[in-house]
Amino acid sequence: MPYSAEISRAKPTAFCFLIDQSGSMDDPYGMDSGKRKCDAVADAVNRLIATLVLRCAKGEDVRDYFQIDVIGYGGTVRTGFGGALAGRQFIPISEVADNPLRVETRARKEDDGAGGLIERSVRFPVWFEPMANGNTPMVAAVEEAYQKVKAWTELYPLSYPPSIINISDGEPTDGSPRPASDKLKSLGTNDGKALFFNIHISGTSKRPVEFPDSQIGLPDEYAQMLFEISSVLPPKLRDEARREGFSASENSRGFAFNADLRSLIQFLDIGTRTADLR
Amino acid sequence: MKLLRHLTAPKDGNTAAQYEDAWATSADTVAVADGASAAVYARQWAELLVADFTAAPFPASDDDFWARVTALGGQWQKKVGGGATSWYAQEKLPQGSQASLLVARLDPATRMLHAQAIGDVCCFLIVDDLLHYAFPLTKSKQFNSHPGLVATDPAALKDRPSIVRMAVAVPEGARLLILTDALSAWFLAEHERKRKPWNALPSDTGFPAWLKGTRESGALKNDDITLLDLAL
Repeated sequence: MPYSAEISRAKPTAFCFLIDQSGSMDDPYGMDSGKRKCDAVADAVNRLIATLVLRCAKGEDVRDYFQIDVIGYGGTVRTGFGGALAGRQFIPISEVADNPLRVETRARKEDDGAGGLIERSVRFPVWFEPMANGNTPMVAAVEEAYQKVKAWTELYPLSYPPSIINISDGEPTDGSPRPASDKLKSLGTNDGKALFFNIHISGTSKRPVEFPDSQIGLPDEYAQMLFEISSVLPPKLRDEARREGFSASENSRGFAFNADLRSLIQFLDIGTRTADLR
Repeated sequence: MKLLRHLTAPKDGNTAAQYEDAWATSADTVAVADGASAAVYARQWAELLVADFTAAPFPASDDDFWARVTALGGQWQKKVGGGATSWYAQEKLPQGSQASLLVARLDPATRMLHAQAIGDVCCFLIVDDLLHYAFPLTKSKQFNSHPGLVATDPAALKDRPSIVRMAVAVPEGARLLILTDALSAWFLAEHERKRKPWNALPSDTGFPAWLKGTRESGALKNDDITLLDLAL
């Protein structure tokens, strides 16, 4: 059955983030007037990477179930992390965990279990700073991802297929990303095709949408385009999405509008899941 | 109750120090816990559980059980809290840890075997070369990545898992196997094929080769393995 390969240190899976850093990301973010879209993108990427780390953290020990790579696009295409991780591709998650640019302390509102909210301080590691500069070479970024992912799948042909997560406001300036996306999704391992997920950070304040199964209700042509190029959720991920309360159908796609898809990372099977906390 | 032998192994790709099951025995009680893969400091939690539930009888009431677990959770926090220095350990620590647990006690006077389970650590009672009783799971399809788990802070759980209890009369000469989930699932699948998996378990020296081959064939999930073989 596809998408059933065990994820382990011997057979890790990979995540490649495509980060829109173009000039349009300087516009206000629809869900929070105090933020620019590039702030929302940086938060989303940093939160996703932190979630990947936390899934593998067993205390001070982070198990290398995942390898991470990044491609930024704004004016030009730039690959790789900054700081101590610069110049490397598909870095084991334990090294990513230990090398953020800095760790901030932020306040997070949480359910107090009695119908109210409490504010808790959380550690927030930062690997990426907000950037907004130049045009939006999304097609070039997807083509760069194709090269990187192709090399990775040749190294790990038995692994769970790689996931590529594109975070953008969906306004490419170098043409339609559909052909490049189809090519990217044709890559894969013995366990299935590569999965291409898209997160649309929008200037409109419409409510978040995760894992839609049609374009109906998506606010604009950019969201619709990103939905179209996103992979359909494999059955195992779809079942986990349903278990977590999402109304996922067999046509649901790995697409989120004004949301960060952190739930997707929780759906990956790396052993016994912990029971849900309040 | 006499422990004949035990076999343990970490998940393939992990070191012995990363094995997260735990087991303990006392005169008439045995306990096995399986730390959840996604939980933090799960081995330490599994070790605390088996030490405590072999040192004193399993509570008759569920409320007493959860109160005892809550106190143990405080011990876990004290034990591991000081060691969490990285951002990820500190961030994950408040979520606590979780483990499956099975406790079995043979009453020497009545020869009744009493067992309690939360999750998917299983025991198999073999009598006269037949599978007499499987507990708490009885079919290979019942295993998944969401078993019942004992949490360090039971009050924080959205849904508290059920404590499954059983009591069965045990004839002299019976054998009790206690296996963590991957091996239990293999055992039940073999039995569903009309085989006698208790006779197919490897010798101590043959265990590494058997484990490698059975994992590679896909018949055994790559997970921590614990096997306790007891004469009752």
